[in-house]
Amino acid sequence: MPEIIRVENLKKEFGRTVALKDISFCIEKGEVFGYLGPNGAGKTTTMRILLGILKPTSGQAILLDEDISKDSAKVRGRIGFVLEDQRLYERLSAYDNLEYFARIYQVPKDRREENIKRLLEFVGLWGNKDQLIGKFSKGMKQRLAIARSLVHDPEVLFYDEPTLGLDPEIQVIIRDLIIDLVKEEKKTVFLNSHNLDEVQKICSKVAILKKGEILMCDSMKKLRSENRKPEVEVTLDNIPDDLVKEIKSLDFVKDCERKDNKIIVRLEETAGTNDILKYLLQKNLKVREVKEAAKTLEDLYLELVKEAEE
Amino acid sequence: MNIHGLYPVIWKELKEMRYRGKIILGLVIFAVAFLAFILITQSRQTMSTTFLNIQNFAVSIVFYAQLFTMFAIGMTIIVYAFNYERLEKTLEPLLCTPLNITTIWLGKVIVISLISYLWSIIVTISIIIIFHLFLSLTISLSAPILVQIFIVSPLLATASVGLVGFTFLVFKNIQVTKFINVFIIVGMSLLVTNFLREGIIKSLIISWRLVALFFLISISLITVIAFCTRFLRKERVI
Repeated sequence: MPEIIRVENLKKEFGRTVALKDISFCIEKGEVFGYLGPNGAGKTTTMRILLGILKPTSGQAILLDEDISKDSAKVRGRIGFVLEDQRLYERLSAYDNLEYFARIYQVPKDRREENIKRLLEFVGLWGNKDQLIGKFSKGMKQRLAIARSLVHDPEVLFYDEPTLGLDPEIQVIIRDLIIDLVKEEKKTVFLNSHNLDEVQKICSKVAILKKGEILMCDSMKKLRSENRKPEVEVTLDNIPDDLVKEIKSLDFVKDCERKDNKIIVRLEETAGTNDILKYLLQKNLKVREVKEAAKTLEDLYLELVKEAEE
Repeated sequence: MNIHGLYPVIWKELKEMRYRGKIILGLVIFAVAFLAFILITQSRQTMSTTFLNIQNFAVSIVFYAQLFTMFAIGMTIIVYAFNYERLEKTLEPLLCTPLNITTIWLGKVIVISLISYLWSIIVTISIIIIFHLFLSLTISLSAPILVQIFIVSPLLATASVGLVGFTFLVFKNIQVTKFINVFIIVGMSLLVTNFLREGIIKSLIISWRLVALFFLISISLITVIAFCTRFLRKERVI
């Protein structure tokens, strides 16, 4: 897949404060890149640099094959964004807000009207198209901001905390919107977020940032496989009384416990799920289900942030 | 500068202008009331001594009414157009689009200047009608005044609005720009009343030199500010 964003040794200083310290990552076409970090980690600064609002102190960022330091209007015409607090025009209607940006991006008149209608229907706001934004709820504004980011059919989308402070129901709607955009329209998404659950559900690649430094950057697939916990949960039809004791005595097992018709086996680092399965089958036990436990993104995030603090 | 980007900025400013209608109307009423006050208080006393005749006085009123109304309206709308954009943080999204600072600045300045100029012309015409109806006086405007009103005034409006708009972009401290704004309005008011009282107006308004001076100042200011906006960093503006 071609690279859409490449960031190399990016550094940003505000006076004596170092906001970003030599960060590097790359995002390929069609990826949803989750950019995680606590408040003040430098997430918004990175996004502002990529959007051309801030100039980096040093380092390089390539967006859609152009160096962002050139501040190319052509590149800015190929990206969409939702910044914190939506930042819409309160004294304009929903339709006018979209039309303004469609005009800025020089979307032809016939396509403009069609796009605005399609997007307002997509975010469920067609019925409110003539209403002033000042009267909208936060959720409605957020959905409109997402529609605005798509009005010119951009290739790359930058979303800064798109679900922050919204009802769980609206959060799900927005999350589904992003998933649809990637699946159906093959967009590349740069997602700044605090919401670990959201990132885990929709992102294909993740970077964790802390105090301006990237602690980890990898694909979700790799993260899942590398951060597998040496723990297996096996559901059996029938569990003999001494099974737990027997399993505990095995060389490759650290610990074992029983929960109803399940046994939870904690394995040694070198052992695998196959080893315990082999043992159970040798004993002619009927295995109904095997589940490998893995660290959640939350576990990993907290672990990394804690390590960085120490 | 992105010329195509000007149209959307102008379109949006005109759309938002609908919600500023009441403010503009209030200002026009204020301008007319202010001029009526000058007319009432000054006319009887100074007409025979300071001015050679009532015709000169009427011409002075027309000349300054137009300038005063234009500045008062322009300086008020500019607060909404530039300051609100910054307060509501809508400038940042704009700067992430293909628009640049100069285009945004110029688009806003064009609309504000045009609106304030058109309103000032309406006020001027109203005053001419008032003179005609109540004092049975038909004001004949000299060539320099006509050039001033129809050519130099719009440029002067653009230059002043452009200057204040630029300060709104440069200074993050809104108080500074508010001070400049108030200073221009109060300054204009004092200038008008002082000129009328002193009678300087008679020699000034007829002068082609003054019109030419205003023209040169306006053109130079517009050019210099437009040039300066190119060097404004986005980081400073947001």
